[in-house]
Amino acid sequence: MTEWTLSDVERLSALNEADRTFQMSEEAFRSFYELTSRPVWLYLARITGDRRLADDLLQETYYRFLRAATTFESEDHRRNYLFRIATNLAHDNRRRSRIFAVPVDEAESNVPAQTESADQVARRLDVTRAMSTLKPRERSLLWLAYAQGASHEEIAATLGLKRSSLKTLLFRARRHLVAALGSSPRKAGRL
Amino acid sequence: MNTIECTREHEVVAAVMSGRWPEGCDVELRDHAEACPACRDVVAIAPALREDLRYADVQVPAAGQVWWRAAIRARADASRAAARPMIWLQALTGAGAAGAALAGLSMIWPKVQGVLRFAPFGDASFQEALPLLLAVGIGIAAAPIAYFLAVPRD
Repeated sequence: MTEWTLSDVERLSALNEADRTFQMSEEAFRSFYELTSRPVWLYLARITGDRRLADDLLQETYYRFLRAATTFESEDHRRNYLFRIATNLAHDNRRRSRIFAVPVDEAESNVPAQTESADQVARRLDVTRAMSTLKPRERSLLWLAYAQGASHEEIAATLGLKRSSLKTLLFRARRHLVAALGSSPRKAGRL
Repeated sequence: MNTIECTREHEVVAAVMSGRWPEGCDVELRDHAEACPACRDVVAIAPALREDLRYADVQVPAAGQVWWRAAIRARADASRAAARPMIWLQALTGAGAAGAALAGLSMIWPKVQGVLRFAPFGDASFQEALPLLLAVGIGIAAAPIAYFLAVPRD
């Protein structure tokens, strides 16, 4: 990431300018960020498979979001727009660097939460590993649909896909993930 | 049965998203999910993805830090954008100066030619000496421009 070297006066001046340059105030941004940063970071980490890249892309996502001259009709629209920026950045990065070989940092990102059972942790690890074998677009589709619970309209808007083709793409992605998971009863969800 | 999409898929997804799956939802929906290939796939993956979103260890920077970095970046971008016309103007000025120097040189060339006749290399004709003189003239004019563009100004 680029390191900027500015004096304290310039920093203060930049912060004053930010309220005029950005499309929302700092206070509004803080609230929005608290709600969205975690899901956006996880989304980026899961579709790129790289935590450090996710850190960089998260910053870039919010920067572009703040600079966007867009009027949002609703909070959902705002949130979907943010995910669209994140998606485009991740895909641009993949096209540039081709580093989506995905050694997902499982040890770091899958630290068990205290409230999680061993079975839940194992299942989460299985799915994370299986996700890493899919194509980036399939990861995006599955994450938005089944982790975020986004509607088909929202997914189509976020990924820039036609709604008519979404069902088929989602179906294929789902089949690929299920196949990657294998047929172990533990790996399947409890019915 | 359509295996690509099920009309009840959204019910299954909603149950997973709300944490009601499997114990908290209707037995009838669970029976359906067991029998329906599309919903069976959803149930195989959605709870784990949802748990990943809920429990994964995520450490994002503080909102203030992201805001601050964005503000600094916006200022740097604005400065760069503001400086861009100046850089072009300076390059154009340099090119204009080089052109004027060449034009001046061509005007005084006959006198220079007369002087060159008495120089040690004075036997060279105008055509023979022109490439060398042009190269020297362009080099003298372009050197400051190249230096200006090459040296970082942060």
